Amino acid sequence: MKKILVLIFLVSIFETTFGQESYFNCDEVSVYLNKKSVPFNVAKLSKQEIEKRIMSFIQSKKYILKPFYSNESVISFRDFTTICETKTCGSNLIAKNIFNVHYEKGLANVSADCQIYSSFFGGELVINNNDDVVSKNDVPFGLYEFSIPEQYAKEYPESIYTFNKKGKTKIKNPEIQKIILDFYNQYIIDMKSYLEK
Amino acid sequence: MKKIIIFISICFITQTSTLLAQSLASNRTKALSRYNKEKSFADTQRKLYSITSWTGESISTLLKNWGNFTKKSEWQNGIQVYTFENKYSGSGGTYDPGYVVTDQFGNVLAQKAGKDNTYSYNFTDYFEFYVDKNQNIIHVKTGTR
Repeated sequence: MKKILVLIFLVSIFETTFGQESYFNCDEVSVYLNKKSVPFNVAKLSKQEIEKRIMSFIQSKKYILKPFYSNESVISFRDFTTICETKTCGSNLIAKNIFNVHYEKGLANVSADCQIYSSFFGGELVINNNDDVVSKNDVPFGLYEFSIPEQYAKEYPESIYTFNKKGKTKIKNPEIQKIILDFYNQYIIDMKSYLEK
Repeated sequence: MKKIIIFISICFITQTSTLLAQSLASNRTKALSRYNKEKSFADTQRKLYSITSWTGESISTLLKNWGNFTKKSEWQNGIQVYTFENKYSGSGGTYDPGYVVTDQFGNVLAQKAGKDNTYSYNFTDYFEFYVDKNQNIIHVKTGTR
């Protein structure tokens, strides 16, 4: 019995230390929330209190409120920021993410619309109020390619996966995958710490 | 023997440099293809950006610059939608009816099938400006239908 208790204790310690839950997943096409939306533990909060906390969170992080996508029970906001620079990822990776927090009394959950751009040729990307992105001086840039044909591996050093002519996919840059997932998971960790405090 | 060795060496060097040149050319082509693809993307984004950058401006400023809108509607939540449309339509090409030549008994002597190379198009570019209660543009949507 004592041994079983010790085992359970060790497993729980291991899970807490190494088993950090990943809210996002990153496949050959996109990065997305595993369960479409993430719920927050706000059972004791009124609708007004939740709204206040969300607005305060947006302000503290300097995210952009999106009134067009918001309504009485949804608050939308946008973040446009660098995920990773060329020296680490082979290209500048920039995220444009729109988060929608659905809320009512005692309930709140967030969904996300994620887009990553890659600025391989060094152009600085800018965004307008309508969430459209360009590069200064129209330096070439593109949507981030999560997977590319293996013969283009050198031209797309930032891609996570390669695939061959038979369509078999291989992971080329697990470290970039980790950087992207860590970056996205941090949003949820931050939101949880703010809303559930 | 010496001549043979020299000959083999020359062949080897030539082949190696050919392969290297091919490889460099291929790499240049692939790099150029990424450049061209992303240049085209950047240019397309710029065109969209120049229109959607009206977001944040007042609708009256837009109307002064763009003139009359095609239609206007209002959502239940009070958002007004000003739509500008550019319609394009036309047709072209030729129709060759072909022919059949028969004798007095109805036997076909010669014939040529008709060919229809005509075409027509009809599409509308639209620009929708979503305006809030303060008469500010809060969103722009563009497309073709």
